[in-house]
Amino acid sequence: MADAAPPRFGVGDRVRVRAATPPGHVRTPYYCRGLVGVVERLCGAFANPEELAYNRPGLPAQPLYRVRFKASDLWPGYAENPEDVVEIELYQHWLEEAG
Amino acid sequence: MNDRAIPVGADRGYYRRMQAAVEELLILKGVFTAADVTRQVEAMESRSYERGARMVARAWVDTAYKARMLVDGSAAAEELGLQVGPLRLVVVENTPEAHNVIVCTLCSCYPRMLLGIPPEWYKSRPYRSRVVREPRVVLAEFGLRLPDRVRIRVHDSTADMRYMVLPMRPADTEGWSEERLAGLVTRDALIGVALPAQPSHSRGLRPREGRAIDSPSSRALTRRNAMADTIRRLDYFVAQVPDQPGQGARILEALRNEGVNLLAFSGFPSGKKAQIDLVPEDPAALKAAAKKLKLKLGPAKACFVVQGDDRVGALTDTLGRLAEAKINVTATQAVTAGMGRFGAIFWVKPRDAAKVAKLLAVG
Repeated sequence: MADAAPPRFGVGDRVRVRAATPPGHVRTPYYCRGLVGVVERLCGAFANPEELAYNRPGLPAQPLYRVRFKASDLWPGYAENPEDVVEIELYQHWLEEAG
Repeated sequence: MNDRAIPVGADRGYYRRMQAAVEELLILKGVFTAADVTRQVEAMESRSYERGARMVARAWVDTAYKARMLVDGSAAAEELGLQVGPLRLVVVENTPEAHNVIVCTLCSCYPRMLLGIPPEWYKSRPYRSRVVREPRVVLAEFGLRLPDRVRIRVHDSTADMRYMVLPMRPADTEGWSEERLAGLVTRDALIGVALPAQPSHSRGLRPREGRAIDSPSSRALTRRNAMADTIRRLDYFVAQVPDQPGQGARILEALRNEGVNLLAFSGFPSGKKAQIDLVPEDPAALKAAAKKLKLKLGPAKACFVVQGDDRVGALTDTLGRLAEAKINVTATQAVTAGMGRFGAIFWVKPRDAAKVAKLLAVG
């Protein structure tokens, strides 16, 4: 997409999901907000759905990442295999460096 | 087929009424026509998971194709001539160490361009909320028990990607053609809640059906089936006809000419004659037509019709609940309807009909 924000993260980077609760059409599940995961891949750049939902152009397009979380980080007391993961698609404007 | 076929005044719920109102407005404003809607619905209903199964079978026999598929699922679909439009497909591969399962916790995102319409349970809140936090418990309810050492990767399709699982090729399929391999791949295997059918168990998968009916997982399965299946108590009518060629065709043709819609129909020998069972959509219409056609019908009796998403063990839970209640099923038939759906009919003694209706929460 011509009008796209440049990617800030690469595969393997640790990222934290913003612990924000903005109103409107948001595609970031609550259950990962504020938590740290690792970038699994970059999927390309897509118009921001939070803008598209209100008939705005959603540009610049946001890089979209697949971020891998340990299930045990998402769910305190997770009782199944500690190596289980949940992979979630997240737009760049929801991610911060986790160091 | 579409909502306009539902009679005015039927309770359609708020969102269905809203959808119908918006559709009517868009048609009135000339944004699209009713024929466009029909065409799109037909196109959507014509796509089935068999398209995904073809890709899996190709990947099983062609490692270069598999490698391309794991990099770019959409391009791999197009390579087999499967048009997927704007779908951005990510294919995730099962291995001996890791099993993949797909969900959309936010709504019901599903690779419809490739797999068709998602099953009801995929869109249900219990599946969406539970599979991310207790995947093994949910998979066990589908009859899939994975060794504890296998890592589970749950993929939440929250944004622009859509997902399909590439299952592992079943053992004992060396030398099989792609077409035959594709026949082992089920819709649920492509979502990751099941494994492909095993050739060595082709008559099997039965051990699962024998599971104790009051186990916790089968109770949960009950909830799932209650969402997926529609069970109705309907009137059926019996006609005796000579056991000769053409009797079924004659009756069906006459009823068609009278515009009588049947939900189920069966015929079988009965003494020296043949018996035909008719389950009409509208009993009054059938009775009127039969009178006109001088077709002698028995009195209305009750039968039960089940419709739902086709899956391994589709009728197991319903029959299991009848077994648990010690209700004897007089007769039953089930058949896949294609397009991922199945239908079944069963009959019980008249004295048990009310009990069955209550037990299965038949509306």
